[in-house]
Amino acid sequence: MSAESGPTPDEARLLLDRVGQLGVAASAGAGWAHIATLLTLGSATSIGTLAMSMTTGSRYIIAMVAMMVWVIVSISFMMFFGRATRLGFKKRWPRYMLAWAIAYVVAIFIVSFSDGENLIGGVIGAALIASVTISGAVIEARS
Amino acid sequence: MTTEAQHPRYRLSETLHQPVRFSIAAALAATESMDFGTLRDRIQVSDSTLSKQITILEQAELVEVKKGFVGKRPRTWLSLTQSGRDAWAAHLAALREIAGSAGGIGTGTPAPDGDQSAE
Repeated sequence: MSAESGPTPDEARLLLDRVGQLGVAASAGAGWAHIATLLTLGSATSIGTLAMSMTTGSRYIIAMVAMMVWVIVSISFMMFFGRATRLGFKKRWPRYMLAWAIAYVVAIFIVSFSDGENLIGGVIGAALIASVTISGAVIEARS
Repeated sequence: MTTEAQHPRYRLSETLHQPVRFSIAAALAATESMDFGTLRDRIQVSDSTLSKQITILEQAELVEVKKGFVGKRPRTWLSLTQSGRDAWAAHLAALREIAGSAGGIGTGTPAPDGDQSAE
């Protein structure tokens, strides 16, 4: 193309249609791995926290190790299969992680003093973690 | 001196109008970033073609290329720079203007004297 011979209106419309098709295809496949990771991270840490609130000793350790395995799996999954990110992802992702980290620290703080008997605290902690990660996943899915 | 408004075709970017680069920009504009293999599959070109066109876009500072590793596998991430997004928005605006215009516009009418810029 040169400035002397630009596209005709029909050609321009076809190009704009192509932009729409490529944009839809590109954004449709983006972000799914990050959404899956958020949900897995949330489910693993909330159920793990709940389990840790009801147990002590070696069972507590087993629950914690199982939770950590799933945390590692979810993050590895994102690293291997997250091949495209949605617009604004760089701004949103740190917020998801910060919200999750705060919820997790609060939940662990509650669980740490439960001595296997603070079921209510464990439920509250697990619900807190689940709500922030599910909210993050929903926001990411809708963005 | 001319009093006529500049025809929108003069605002089209020659760099972005090339078909493969146009598709690259369209795909990258809809995402924050995309890896090389995914982009190649989306726009259905070979590795070498994509690599060549990405180099041109990178040299024009329209696309940012980040290389890294996932495990032992290399992975190249591509994204539009801010100037790339601006240039793409301007390119699309010019295309929309041409598309919305009546017949006769954008059909190869010679450019006004002294106005040859395409970017």
